[in-house]
Amino acid sequence: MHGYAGKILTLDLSSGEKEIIALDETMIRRFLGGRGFVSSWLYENLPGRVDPLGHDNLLVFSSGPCNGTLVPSASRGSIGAKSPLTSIMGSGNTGSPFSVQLKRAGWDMVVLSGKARRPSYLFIDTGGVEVVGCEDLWGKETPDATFALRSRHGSRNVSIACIGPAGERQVPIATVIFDRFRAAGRGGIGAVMGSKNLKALVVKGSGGIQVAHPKSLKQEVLRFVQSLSEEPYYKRYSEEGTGVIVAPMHDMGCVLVKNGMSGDFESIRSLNADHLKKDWFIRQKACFSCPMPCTQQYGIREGTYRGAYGEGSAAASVIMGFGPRCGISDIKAVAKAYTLTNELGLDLISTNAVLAFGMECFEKGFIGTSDTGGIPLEFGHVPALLEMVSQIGMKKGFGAILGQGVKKAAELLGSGSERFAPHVKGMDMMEVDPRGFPSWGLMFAVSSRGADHVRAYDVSQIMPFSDEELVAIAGTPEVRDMFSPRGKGRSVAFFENIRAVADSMEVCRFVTRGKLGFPENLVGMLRAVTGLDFTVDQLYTIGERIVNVERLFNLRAGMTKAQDTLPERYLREPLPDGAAKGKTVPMAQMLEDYYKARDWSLISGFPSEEKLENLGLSLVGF
Amino acid sequence: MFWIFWIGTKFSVSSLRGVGPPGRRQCLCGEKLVLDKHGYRISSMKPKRHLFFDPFICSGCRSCELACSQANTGGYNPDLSTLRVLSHPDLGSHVVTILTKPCICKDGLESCVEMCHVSAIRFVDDSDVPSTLKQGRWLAAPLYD
Repeated sequence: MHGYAGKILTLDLSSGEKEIIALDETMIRRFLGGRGFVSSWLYENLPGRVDPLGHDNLLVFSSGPCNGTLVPSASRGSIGAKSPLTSIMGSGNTGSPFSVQLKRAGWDMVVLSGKARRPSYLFIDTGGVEVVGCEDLWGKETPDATFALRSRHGSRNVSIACIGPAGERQVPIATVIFDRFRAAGRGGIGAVMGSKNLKALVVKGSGGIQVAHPKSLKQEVLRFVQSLSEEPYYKRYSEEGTGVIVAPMHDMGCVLVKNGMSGDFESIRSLNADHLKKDWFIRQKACFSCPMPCTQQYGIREGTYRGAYGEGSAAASVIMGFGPRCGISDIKAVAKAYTLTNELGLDLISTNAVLAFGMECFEKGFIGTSDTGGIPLEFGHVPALLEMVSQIGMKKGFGAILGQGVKKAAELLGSGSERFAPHVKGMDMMEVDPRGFPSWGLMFAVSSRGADHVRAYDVSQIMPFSDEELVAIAGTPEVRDMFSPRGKGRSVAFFENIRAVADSMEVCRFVTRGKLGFPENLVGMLRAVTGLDFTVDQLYTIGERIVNVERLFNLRAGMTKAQDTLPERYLREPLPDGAAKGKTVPMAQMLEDYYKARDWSLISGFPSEEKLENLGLSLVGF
Repeated sequence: MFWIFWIGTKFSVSSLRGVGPPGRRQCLCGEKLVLDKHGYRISSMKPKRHLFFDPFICSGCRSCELACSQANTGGYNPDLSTLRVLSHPDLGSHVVTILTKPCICKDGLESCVEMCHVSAIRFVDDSDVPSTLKQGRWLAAPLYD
């Protein structure tokens, strides 16, 4: 079986029972790998009403067919579980070589259930899996835990996924940190890992990966990289990282400023790429096997935050999140806050969402210093922000409330703060203001893991597509118009499908953000790797199947159609200033179009029977 | 190798007597030939080629390792690659390329260079070494066997 290790490992941490399951071709043809495997496994094996932090929740790590081959950017890996933050699917995708080493160790997927009796980590290699007690590592921050595990198991061919203090304390916005610098698992997968008494997974790969047609793969890869180098984003991302888009996005009016109270941040230029390069970046780095070095290795060389060091591909999220969203214009403070979230094992986006929400509550007088333990949680107050990040990670003080995510924090604080709590289905919203970017508003509303931009990553308004391409994507070239609701529903559905394919092949969605993400441009490499005769149409169907299986999982877990919406602020409160002044999100029409494009019921939100039949899916456990 | 080449030159299509007019020629595989007036090869000067890398351009993606292992062993296994890209285990920084054994590229394609998308490695002929070193940015990949 080319491109796959051919084995799935399941382990019950409570009893220590292991099972090795052979991967069958039907599963490959239906779900491809990576995210597809995670979603289908959770749908088929995890009942609807399981407690996310209980023994029965499943934690799944999966690699994809292209991991570890020359396919450009194929070093992503998927992770999933039922989310303690949203009670629907929680999942993530990371750019560390974890999944490459997992496959080299001989495993396509690792599925964990139960709870270890004492703090432990898993050591996985070709021989299988070993549960190792690690009371000495419990309590350590992610860099220290990673260093300690590296000194035990070596560094080359070893990849480490671990949780920090936040995951150990089961903070619902805790994430999993891979190889010190990379994160995955929005929706509190770190807390799920903590609930299983699992500090880390150490994977040591040693084998080689065989592909079906290496020569043809090489030709396909060279062709792909040639096309990539002609894309306008390639040069910008390679030289300046994703942070380069922050200022242009602000000028489009779609950056959240002060939790959405404004659309204009006057200090935005102090956060733009020139300053980043001067004050922050050390050099550009690439993920394993990726031609586009869009990750910045950064470090603060002087001043109060001297010594903060790390790397992160989510520079745009970092800057927009701790910058305009929290009212901070000091890029070094932003870097420091980001470093802290990684060290504590917190989800970057959720952390800056709850902080900005807390700041607005503070500004409006819903809370005061008596609630925050004396911390003046004002917009732009850097020491308060850093202290609060620590409190969230350590689950203490006011941080214990904010760490519940904005939805629960708003319920606890009351006073009408729910109206401006930025979440969908409990998932904290990322840093784009949907009033300035309505199709992203729709993406947030319908995403299978709650307010999230990477499930669809709809770029039909920001990439230079031709009219013909836009007709194929959305049915109308008018989709190019940022504020018209026309075509947005179909466009989001289209991009959700193709991102599901790329996520399942485990190639990066930044590299494939434009035309290169279309199955037409990926199918050649997939065929060369697997030797299977995939067609373009089959890939579109696989993408649709994955989105639908995630939808079914969520509906079975109790999600309703009414939750496919945005917080009231973005629907009714016009943006007071900025480039998108006066705009709100025209959700109703976009949502209706989306449901029609998906063939989902406008009343119940369920996929139609015909759609399920076409995709080969059935309602299990409803 | 020599015999295969000798037969190749002896029974070349262009001339039964040799491979062309006298002078220096370069074979497709990179080997430099000196031919006599009959077109016979009188000496072979396969230049020694050295791997150089630019530590500031290298992004640490390790595509070269994959390409090398695939070209020489048939599978993608960085452990079997002749060249290795090393970085600091904790800091993830300071990328250095080394060789674990002398290059043995079977197909002569130098796949590692072909697959380096940021042009951070190159092979340099013996005679070009001084000028390459003088540039300052290129370092010769050390052999650590």
